[in-house]
Amino acid sequence: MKNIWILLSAMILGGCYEMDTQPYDKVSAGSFWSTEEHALQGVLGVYADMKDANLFGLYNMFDNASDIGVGYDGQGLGDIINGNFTDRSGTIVNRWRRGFDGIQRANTVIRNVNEMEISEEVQSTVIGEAKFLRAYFYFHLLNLFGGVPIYDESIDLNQGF
Amino acid sequence: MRTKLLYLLKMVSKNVLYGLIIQFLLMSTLMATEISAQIKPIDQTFVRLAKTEGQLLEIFKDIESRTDYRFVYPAEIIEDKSQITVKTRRQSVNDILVDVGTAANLRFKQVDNAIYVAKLEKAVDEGKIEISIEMAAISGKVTDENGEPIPGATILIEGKNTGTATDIDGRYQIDVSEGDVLVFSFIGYNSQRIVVGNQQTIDIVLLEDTSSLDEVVVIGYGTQKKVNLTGAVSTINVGKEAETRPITSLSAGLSGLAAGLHVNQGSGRPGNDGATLRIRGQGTLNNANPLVIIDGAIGNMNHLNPQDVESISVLKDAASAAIYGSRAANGVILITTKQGSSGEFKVNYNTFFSSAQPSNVVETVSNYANYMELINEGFSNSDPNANPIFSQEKINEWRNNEGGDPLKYPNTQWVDEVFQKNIVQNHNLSFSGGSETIKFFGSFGYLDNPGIIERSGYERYTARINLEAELKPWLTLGTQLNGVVANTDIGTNQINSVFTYAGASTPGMILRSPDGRYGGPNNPEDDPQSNNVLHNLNSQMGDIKHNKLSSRFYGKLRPIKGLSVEGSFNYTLDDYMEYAQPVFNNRWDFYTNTISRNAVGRTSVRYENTKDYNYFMDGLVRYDGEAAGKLTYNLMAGASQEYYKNAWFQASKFDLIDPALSVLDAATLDAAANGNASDWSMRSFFGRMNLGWDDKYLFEANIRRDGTSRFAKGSRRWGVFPSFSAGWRISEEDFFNASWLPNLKVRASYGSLGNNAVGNYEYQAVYDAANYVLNNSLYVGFAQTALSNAALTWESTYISNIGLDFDLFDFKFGGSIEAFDKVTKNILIDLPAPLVVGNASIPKQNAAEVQNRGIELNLNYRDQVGEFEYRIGGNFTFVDNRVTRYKGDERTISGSNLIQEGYAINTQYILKTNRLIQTQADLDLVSQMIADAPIDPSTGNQRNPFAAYGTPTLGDFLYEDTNADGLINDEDRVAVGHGTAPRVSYGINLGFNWKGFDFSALLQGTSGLQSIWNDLYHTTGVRWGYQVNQEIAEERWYEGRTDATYPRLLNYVDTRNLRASDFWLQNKAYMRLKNVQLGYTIPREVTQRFKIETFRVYGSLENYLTFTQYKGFDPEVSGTQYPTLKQALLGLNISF
Repeated sequence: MKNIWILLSAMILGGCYEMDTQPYDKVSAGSFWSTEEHALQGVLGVYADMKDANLFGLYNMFDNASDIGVGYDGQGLGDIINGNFTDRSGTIVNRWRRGFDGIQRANTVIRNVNEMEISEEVQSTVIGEAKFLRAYFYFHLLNLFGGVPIYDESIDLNQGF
Repeated sequence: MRTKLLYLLKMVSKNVLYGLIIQFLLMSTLMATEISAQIKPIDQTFVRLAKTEGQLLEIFKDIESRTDYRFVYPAEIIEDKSQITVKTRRQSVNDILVDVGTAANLRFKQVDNAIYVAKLEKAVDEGKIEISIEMAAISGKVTDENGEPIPGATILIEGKNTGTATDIDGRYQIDVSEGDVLVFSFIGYNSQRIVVGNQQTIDIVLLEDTSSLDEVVVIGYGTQKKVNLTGAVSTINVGKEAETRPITSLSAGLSGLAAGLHVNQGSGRPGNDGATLRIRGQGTLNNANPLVIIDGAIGNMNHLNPQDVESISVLKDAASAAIYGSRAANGVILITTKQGSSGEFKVNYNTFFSSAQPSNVVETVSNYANYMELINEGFSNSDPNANPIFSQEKINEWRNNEGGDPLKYPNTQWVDEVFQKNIVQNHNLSFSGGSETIKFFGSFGYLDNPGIIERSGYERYTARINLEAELKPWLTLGTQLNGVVANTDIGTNQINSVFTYAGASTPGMILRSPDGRYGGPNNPEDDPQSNNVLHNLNSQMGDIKHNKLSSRFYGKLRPIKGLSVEGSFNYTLDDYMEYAQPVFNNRWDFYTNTISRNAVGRTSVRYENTKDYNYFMDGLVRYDGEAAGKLTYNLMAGASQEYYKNAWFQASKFDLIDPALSVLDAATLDAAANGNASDWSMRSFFGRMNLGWDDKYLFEANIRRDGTSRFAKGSRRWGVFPSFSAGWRISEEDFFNASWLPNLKVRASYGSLGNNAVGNYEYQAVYDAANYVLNNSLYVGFAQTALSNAALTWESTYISNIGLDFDLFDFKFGGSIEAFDKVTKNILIDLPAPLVVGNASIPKQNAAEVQNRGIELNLNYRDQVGEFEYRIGGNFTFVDNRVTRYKGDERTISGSNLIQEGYAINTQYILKTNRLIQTQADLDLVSQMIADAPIDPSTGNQRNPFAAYGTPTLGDFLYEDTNADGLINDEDRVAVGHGTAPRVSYGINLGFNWKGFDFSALLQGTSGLQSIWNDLYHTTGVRWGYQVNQEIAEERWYEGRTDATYPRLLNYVDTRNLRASDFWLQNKAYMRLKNVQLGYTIPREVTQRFKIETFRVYGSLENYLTFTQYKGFDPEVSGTQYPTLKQALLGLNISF
């Protein structure tokens, strides 16, 4: 009788499967933001947004909205030229969203690097670059939309979305 | 082909080969058969002794060697070594012993086969030896009322612990004493008690038990008698269904068979024709799939050979499903595979051939001249000043050459070109049997489904062995092994695009000429990019190989009476390998007979491999007992854990050294590779208690505690799900005297279940790579591309259920009625976040509540008139779905689907059309609206009421101004209907048996479902290089017409008539004759001459008649997808 209970508990506890699984292809936030390397990688993440087609990647496409170029479908600003756009059109929505994505990434970098314990030089360089990029994105959004709400590093999106 | 078959056979057997060898070895050592002794009195046993003289011991041994008797004596008797004289003629043992006894002063007594020897105390009469036979052997045959033998029937001696079973011919033999009571019984038959007199043979005829009182139903972690069920469980006897209906996948074959179970066959695509199952409505806003458990472990229904399945139980309410607590919120489907039975050794061969075609297709305009005119009309309606696309000369040319050279002047109907008729074949060989201590079931199946579209064939081999052995009275071990090897054509990964390609095409194109060349458009004015669907399907070659091994090892210990300890370990490996490479074919212009598009491109090869691993183990302790005479109790407690991992990688390389080669090493440049993995695990503890008082009052309680790796550690990870249920068998009460109502039971239950349908890692904040180039080098950056929600926790469903089960008129008419209320709280949904959050994906939140309420009804009637047996049954379910908590008055609108508090999930949120403007009176209405338009306060001018969609004119829709603000825009949308899940579903089945013929039919339908159908195949927007729907072409408005039902054709970019409105809303209610079947079994007397037990031929039609108003492909399929197929089938069933 006793053996059966031991067998059962051994079966249950012995071959226990790990309950704390981690994604295989991503880095967990718990282990990020601890070395200088991480700070540099974090700010590079902000730079990476710039090449997106909805931010500066297709910047020259704005020529279509003037008289020196013409476009047809959404990517070529066709609906702006036709006057068919609304506040829900993809062309408009995506540019707003990607602009703010860059701003939020910059905010994340500033907030986290401020609390890191790394050399003063790297810290101020990284935070300086992040602040510059944030301002540049706000400038771009201001040109497109006029007044926009301001978000700074005090809001942690993981709690505040 | 033959070598391929052999190779595949080897592959399948490899997975089960070693197991088979070991098991068969064990089996042969365990197949002991009983030796039944024939007891004869010594005065009826005749022997001839070897010697006339001998010592006592020698005489005893001589007699023992010639008979079954054994002498039992005290040792001192044989110390007397004097010689005793006996006669050597043939005489009865009695006479021999009389002589021996007189000579040696002994007395003998026979008891059964033992002869007791004792010293004689006093002189006894010569020639008299006490013979007492306590037991005699009785034999006989057990048959049913038709004279058919019943193998495996149990014969027990009442009061004693002995018994036996009948053999395959229904014969038995058992040792009894006079006055013993024999009880003959067999499942499904009424038992009989016979008092043993002095007869030697007792033949019994057992009558069928038409009551379903003994029917046993499979429930979570055990079985229960149907009459003792307090929860809502539907059972489907699949064994019978699968043998005769062309079910290529189990889930699709369940349609219409159980109340509360709604099956939506998503597509008929071979290899992927699993259906979506819903138990009692769509419970949640995301994954509402029920939990499917196969032989105790979670599995995929579609990888199971339908002929291996014994029964399916659908657990619908909290009480029955609670034992699976987590993930059971959407109901549980339990599948049990076949197991052998004692005494019966059977081999069964089942085969069918069927021919399939789509049940319905949508026709497009095939006459190219008409097509050209329609396109011109559409474009000129939008812009009267533009040049027509197709010139009048070409139109005339095509019209004049109608019926001429088909290659030069094609009028292609895509339906004829794309669908092909093919024969599906299925073979299944199964064997089963067992003795009292071993049971086995094995099967081997082969399915070949070439598909009705090119390059979409599917071939599948399955093999299974189920073995269970009672090695000791207290230990049972068993195993279930199943292997699947399937091979699909590479074209199947493009099947869903086939309909898009065929719709984005033109009738003026030859898809493929008789000599095998692919065509492009014959008219240079037509879109050179229009698709050739056959060319696209043949632009790649390759295949998809799918191998799966499921295994289960289990054991049961029974240390003391009533207590059993069980455990099992399950391992499933699913391996999927895809290989593809492009094939380049020219496209010809058959008008000029030149190549219009050259076959150029870089050769390349791509390999993709995905593996799924699933480990599951559980252990439980059960105790059954009785107390106080009337109380029966069953207790169960257990624990389980599960781990699942999915890993994949892909590699590709360009520029093959020779296009005939197909491995990565044969390519030279630009290698690329990707891969990833994900996993989850779960741990659970559960318990159940069943109490029954006097078989009249029943009570059950379940509790389960689950933890999953998908939620954060701590309180969020674990969920507790209790449930209770009770039942009262009114028919067993003393005050209940209605003999016409032999079974009446009332039951109620309440409980909660969980669901954890989120991504695997959503509660964790993670960073993903975001690279950037600085100074001509690539640098790795990181950014948080997915936000996390650490507060995620279990979705819970609370289900209350009340039911009434009844059987009337001597069990001829039976059924049940139930009412249920299912509320799902903390639903995990994606709530939209403001755009200022950026592009990071928002995790799910526990935020909504959905309620499903409904009624289920289940009725069955069966009767017999002479030899004609008939039955009719039906099930009916009504479900009302409502979102009870969401975001207050806010809505989430995705296309035309609305989610809002107070409405059903995906209620259609659409405009209402007032009329199709065709007459002057209609135009006047429009002018009136413009004149009465409200004033815009900021500018002081009148607004344009039609600013949003354009001012309608003749041939356009006038939408209803439902909010009476004078403007027609998106604000005029209203909620219509009850969502995209059906409100009512029902199934009716009927059948009869008569003199070897059997007939059955199954009707199934749903209603209350409406959804918008407006896509390539059903639109009034014309587009260069796209097809036009034939019905729309006939019913469209054109100049001068006043009876049109469709609006005018327009350029596709002008969407004024294509907005989601009640015009495009289709009623998807349907009733379908799912299956009609007629079979004939050749009489047993004839087939038994060839040693065959059953020989049955049958034919059936599947999905042949559909009654619906839906104009699309298939009311069961959403949108345009591979349709459900109509099949005609012929099959054979042999068992011996």
